[in-house]
Amino acid sequence: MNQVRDHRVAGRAVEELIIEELDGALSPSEQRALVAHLDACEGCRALRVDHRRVHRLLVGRSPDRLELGRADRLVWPRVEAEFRGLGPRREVRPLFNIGLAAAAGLLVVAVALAALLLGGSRAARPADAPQQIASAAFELPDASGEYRIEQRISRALDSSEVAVVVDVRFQQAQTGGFLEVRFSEPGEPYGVAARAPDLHGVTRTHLEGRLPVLERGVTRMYRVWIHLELASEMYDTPGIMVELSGERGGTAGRIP
Amino acid sequence: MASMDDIPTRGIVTPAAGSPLPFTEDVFERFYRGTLPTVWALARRVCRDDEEAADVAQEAYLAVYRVWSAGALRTEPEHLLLRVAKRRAIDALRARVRRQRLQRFAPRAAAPELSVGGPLDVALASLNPRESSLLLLQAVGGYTYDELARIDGVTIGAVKSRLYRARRELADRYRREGGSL
Repeated sequence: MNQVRDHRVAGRAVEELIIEELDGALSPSEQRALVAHLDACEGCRALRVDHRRVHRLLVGRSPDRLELGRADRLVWPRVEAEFRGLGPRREVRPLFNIGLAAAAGLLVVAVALAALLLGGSRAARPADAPQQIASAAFELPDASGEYRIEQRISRALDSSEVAVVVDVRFQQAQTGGFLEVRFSEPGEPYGVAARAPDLHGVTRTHLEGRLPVLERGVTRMYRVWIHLELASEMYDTPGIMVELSGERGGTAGRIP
Repeated sequence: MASMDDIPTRGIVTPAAGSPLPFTEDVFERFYRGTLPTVWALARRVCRDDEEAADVAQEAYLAVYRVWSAGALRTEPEHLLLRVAKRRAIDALRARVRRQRLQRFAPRAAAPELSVGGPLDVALASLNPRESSLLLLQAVGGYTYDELARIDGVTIGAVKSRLYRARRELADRYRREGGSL
């Protein structure tokens, strides 16, 4: 590999050209010179394959939807909380500030009351903190834990979804096995919302998954449970029934 | 209701020649939604901790907010945001490394483990954070050499040579960590 790294074309290291090619930064003449060299050099072709694979893996480090939702819930409330207190508002006289605070407090109470009266399952923005819909604890011979179903509204994704969060503690480090969050409509095959594929050496684990996103106007009933498969045993927790309905901006969940 | 896919992640707001960008909270919120994936990828992958990454992102957005809302923005807010996020992420990582070094001399204090995943994460974590953050911005954010140079405040040549060094190093370390190529 090191010998290949000494190869040069048109006064430049071939590896440098391979890397710039990934970034789309080669001129047409450099591209032609690189291709001509690669046609004749197996080692540099292999080096190019290596760099392309690592690049693809790096591109794949973008946060997925679930991670982005979590990031949003962590970041936005902090940003909003601080910037609401910055800028010209700080220059208002204290007495007036108290009046504003009181007015804001009344407004918050009024909005909360309105939301309660309307019975909406979706929180008013910007209340982006997850709302717990249901939770259950479980005890298995080798493990214990709890799982909860949450309504999550994401400002970054501008949508609402229903998530399952699981925390499991094992009595001892596992030698293998896997854990799944499963859901199914009665009489239908199950789906997997989240999976810990290898429990080897694990003493506790945290999993998050998303229940199906439904089209607007569609309502379905799902049972959600935890399936644990260890080397010699398998367990299923009893499960929670949850009703999901597709609505404007996402999917809402409630306990029937 | 616009979905995340409808909103461009870049070029959301471009300064008119020589004039400050108009600031409104709606524009800022759109800016936040468009840039969070890149800011989070950068902060989370460099810090390797959700809470620290959230602190980094918070500081970066607030820094942009203060400059922008005061009408003092003279560059693309996205570039300012990423510059601050990158510096803060590197600072946070260095501060943690220092804390962990100190904790080695105080065995009773539990040193929090960095959460590192597969071979690529391990290889990325072992790079100089300046270089790993540059790689992430380039790979995840898709920024050009020119944009990266403006974000970092360096020349295009410096960006190219840093990226070259970082990619070489990353491929080597990834292989040493047992990553399949």
